[in-house]
Amino acid sequence: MAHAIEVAGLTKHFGPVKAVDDLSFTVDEGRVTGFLGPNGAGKTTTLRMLLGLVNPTSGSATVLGQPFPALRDPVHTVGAVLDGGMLHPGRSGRNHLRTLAKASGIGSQRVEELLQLVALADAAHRRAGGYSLGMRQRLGLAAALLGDPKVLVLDEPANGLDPQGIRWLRDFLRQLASEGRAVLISSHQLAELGQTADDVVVIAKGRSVAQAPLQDIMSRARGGGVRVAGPDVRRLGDILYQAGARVSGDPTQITVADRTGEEVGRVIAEHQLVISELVPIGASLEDVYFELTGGGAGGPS
Amino acid sequence: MINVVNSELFKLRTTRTFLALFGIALAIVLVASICICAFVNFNGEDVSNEILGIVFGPIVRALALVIGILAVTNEFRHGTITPTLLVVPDRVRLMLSKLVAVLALALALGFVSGAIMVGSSAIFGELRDFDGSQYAGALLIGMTVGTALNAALGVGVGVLVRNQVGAIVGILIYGFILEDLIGLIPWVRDWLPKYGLGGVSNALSGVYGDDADFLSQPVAGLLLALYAAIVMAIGLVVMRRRDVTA
Ligand SMILES: Nc1ncnc2c1ncn2[C@@H]1O[C@H](COP(=O)(O)OP(=O)(O)OP(=O)(O)O)[C@@H](O)[C@H]1O
Ligand SMILES: [Mg+2]
Repeated sequence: MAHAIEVAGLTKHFGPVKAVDDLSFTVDEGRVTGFLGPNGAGKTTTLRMLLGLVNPTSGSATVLGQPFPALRDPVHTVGAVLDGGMLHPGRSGRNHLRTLAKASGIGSQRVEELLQLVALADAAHRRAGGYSLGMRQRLGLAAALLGDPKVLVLDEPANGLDPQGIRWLRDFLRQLASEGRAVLISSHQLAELGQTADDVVVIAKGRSVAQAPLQDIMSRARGGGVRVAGPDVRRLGDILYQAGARVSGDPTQITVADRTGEEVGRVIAEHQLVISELVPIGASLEDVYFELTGGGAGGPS
Repeated sequence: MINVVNSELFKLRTTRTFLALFGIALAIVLVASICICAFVNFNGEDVSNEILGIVFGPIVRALALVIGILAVTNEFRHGTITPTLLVVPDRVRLMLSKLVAVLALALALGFVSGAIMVGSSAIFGELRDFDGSQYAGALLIGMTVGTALNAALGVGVGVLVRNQVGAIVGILIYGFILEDLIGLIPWVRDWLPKYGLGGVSNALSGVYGDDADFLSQPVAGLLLALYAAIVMAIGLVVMRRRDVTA
């Protein structure tokens, strides 16, 4: 069975600029994959190549085993929101969706359903030129969902959304993934994906710098570790110390610098210890992110 | 393909620019046809349809070109090309659908404009006793086909030159100024005024009878269709290789 999305050796040069450089990754069904990188890292270019909008210099990108332009039924296979407004300012939101629905033989019933879903029903008759950034994003999302697609590709969909909107989106994406769909979502903030993504692909300057389940990435944190408190922590500390872990602390509370919460939990279970608290500590998501993407680089360069 | 053409027709209907251009074209033709037919003092040899054809041919032609160009370049200007290509990834199919939609609308526009001219001529010719019927058939056909082909040419130009302002300014400057100027150069003078866009479009309007400086109406129609097809074909080849980054 082909991966939902498979990117292999993808490269794009814009003149002298290597926007994407030999990038490979896969996205599977039933999972939300975060696609992370600082400004200019090549996220949008990668997604546009995946969707047949930008021609790769070399390499390939396929959706369910086929290049996007070769899909027999693109609308029902892939839905995408790419960055930016991308609306005709003089056309109403409803008519915008209808132009897309008509082109793929989808009825206006579905358009109304989606306007309800993204909470735009009341504004749908207004000219899109007057929409706020968040409203444009919602309309874009509605367009992506027209064909109830199996694969969703979202380029910074949280841009312009208010906190309620972001939470709604997060829950919605989780729900889509739980229905067995594949979701690829780009962002330049690791924290934003913290509660959404299962896996992350991190790129910097067009190259892949990390690909792993989000949990792994987080536990890679520099100076991370776990803090444990409770009656048996002294014994726990001894056991871990003998196993070669870096342990510090006092009789009521210890810090284990180089073990994950799960690893410590296993030791606790194995030795039937009693604890009252086990907290992962260490670097914030931001720190991890900066470490992966090469310090504070990125941003205006 | 039918779905895509439908969607394109719907796009054209749901923006003010198109409705305005159509309205302006028809209003100019209607008001000015009636004024000319009602008030101009024709003398014995004048044929009202000929005058209408010469006056309105270039105006409707320019509007048709602009309509065709807008149908394509609007998508690039506003970035709607991205969502559109996500629904219809085959660029050739998309652009051909636009061509069909624009052709349909331009045929209607040309036919109605022609009918207004021929109609005013006939009615006032009867009332004021001048020859209002000569060239009627040729003018009606010429307006219908000429408008459609110029709109098709506009679509081709839009596919080739995505920049809206560039495409419109470019084609209008070439078609209405440059071509006439270049046509003054001695060596070019022999063929450009006859075979260029302006000359062919004028010949297509059908009101020049047997004038040897103009091609016959059917030949002019075929030649203009060929020009439009060539521009469209080059545009499609270029369009397929292009990166859509906005
Ligand atoms: N059409 C283009 N022409 C030239 N260079 C381009 C073009 N599109 C992108 N680039 C360059 O390619 C690189 C990657 O850009 P891209 O938009 O893919 O980054 P991104 O990760 O999406 O950034 P952001 O977080 O700001 O959206 C940048 O250096 C950019 O300047
Ligand atoms: Mg981007």
